[in-house]
Amino acid sequence: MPSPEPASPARDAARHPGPESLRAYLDRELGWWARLRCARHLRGCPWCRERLAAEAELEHHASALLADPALEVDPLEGWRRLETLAGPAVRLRPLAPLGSPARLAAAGLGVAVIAVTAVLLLRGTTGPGGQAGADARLQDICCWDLDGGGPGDDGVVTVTLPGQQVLGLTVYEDRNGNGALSGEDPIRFASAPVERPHAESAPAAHASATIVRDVCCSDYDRGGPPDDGLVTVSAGGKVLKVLLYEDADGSRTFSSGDPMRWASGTEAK
Amino acid sequence: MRAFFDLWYPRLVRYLCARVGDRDQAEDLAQEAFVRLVRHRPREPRSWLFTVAENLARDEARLARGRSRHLQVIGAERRDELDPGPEPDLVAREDAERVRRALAGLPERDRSLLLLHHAGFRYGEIAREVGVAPGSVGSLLTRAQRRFLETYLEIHEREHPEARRAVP
Repeated sequence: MPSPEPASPARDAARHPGPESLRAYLDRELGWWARLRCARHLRGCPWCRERLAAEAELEHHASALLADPALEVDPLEGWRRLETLAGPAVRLRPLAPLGSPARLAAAGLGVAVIAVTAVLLLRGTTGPGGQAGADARLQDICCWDLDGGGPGDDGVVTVTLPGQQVLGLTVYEDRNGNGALSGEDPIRFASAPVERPHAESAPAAHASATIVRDVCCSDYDRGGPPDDGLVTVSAGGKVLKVLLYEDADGSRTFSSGDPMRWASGTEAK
Repeated sequence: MRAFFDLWYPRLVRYLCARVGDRDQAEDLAQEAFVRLVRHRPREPRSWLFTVAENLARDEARLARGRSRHLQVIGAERRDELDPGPEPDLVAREDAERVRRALAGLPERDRSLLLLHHAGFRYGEIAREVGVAPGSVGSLLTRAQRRFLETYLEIHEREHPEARRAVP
């Protein structure tokens, strides 16, 4: 148990994170900004560190008892059994229902936006010699928990040029659990079609165009070396979306091996 | 579907095992829940899966109570004839049984909170499943874990009075 709260003025006591916040910090349930504030407080507060340690110890003991080491489950064996019981259709049928025509139309529109974005990007990446930038590619990176609503059900489709920054992105919810964007997955965010954001291109001519910037690398999470990158999507001088990622592969750009850490507007409620 | 299965099937089996205390039965129930999932294709498969599995476990427990009464009669008749034999994993099984009894001794809400959290559910999902405000999940979880450890240690103490009590 943590030692009693140190005698301090009321205004100092009010600044300590409450039991809810501390527990949410331990379970990684705080939003990015709240987590950062809590981490900063913990660095300077031995009392709260002690409280956190007590919570962690409780969690450790409870988990250890509930985790039966003899209970290793082989999903492959279970999958084969399920195929026998439910038939091969289990591999073909989507998990979620197809939904209403309106939902389908909305999802179809989302997919169409991505396709159009890709086409426009390919046009926009025409090099000085007039040759189309055929190296631009779509990546579908799934799955993370970006909205705090459950583990691993959010995916991001990005349009990138190899070795260069992300040019466009779409965030979706992998509702049917197939690990990729498909017709019935709701689109949470899609950047508008963009033109290649060369620094030398005339900014005035594209004042209303969507600009996607990938800036790497800094140590945003104070977790060690500067390996965190930020992708921002802005239009008309206003930032529409921010994604924070860890540059795990050291490419200094957002790529498929990089875990996503946070996305604006999809933070846990 | 395959990715979903690989991620959630082991967690569901462990969840059910803590509920029913028998691995084979837990796997059977998990399979049944997944078969129903494939047929129904619910909008929120994770919550749906665990809710169905929970109901299946509850039905099974009801049937088992009936069977148990019947088997007690047969068991009493045959006890003298049977040789129990060596039990190499007796300690581990006793411990698992204590955990199961400690869980069974908790209020329903605490048990669900503990097991859903252990299965990897996030606060939002736990709140929906258990019917509490998302903001209160953290403190309820702390309280449930404390009660669980205390109950477990009480059971352990009753069986091994020489053991000293040490609640973290």
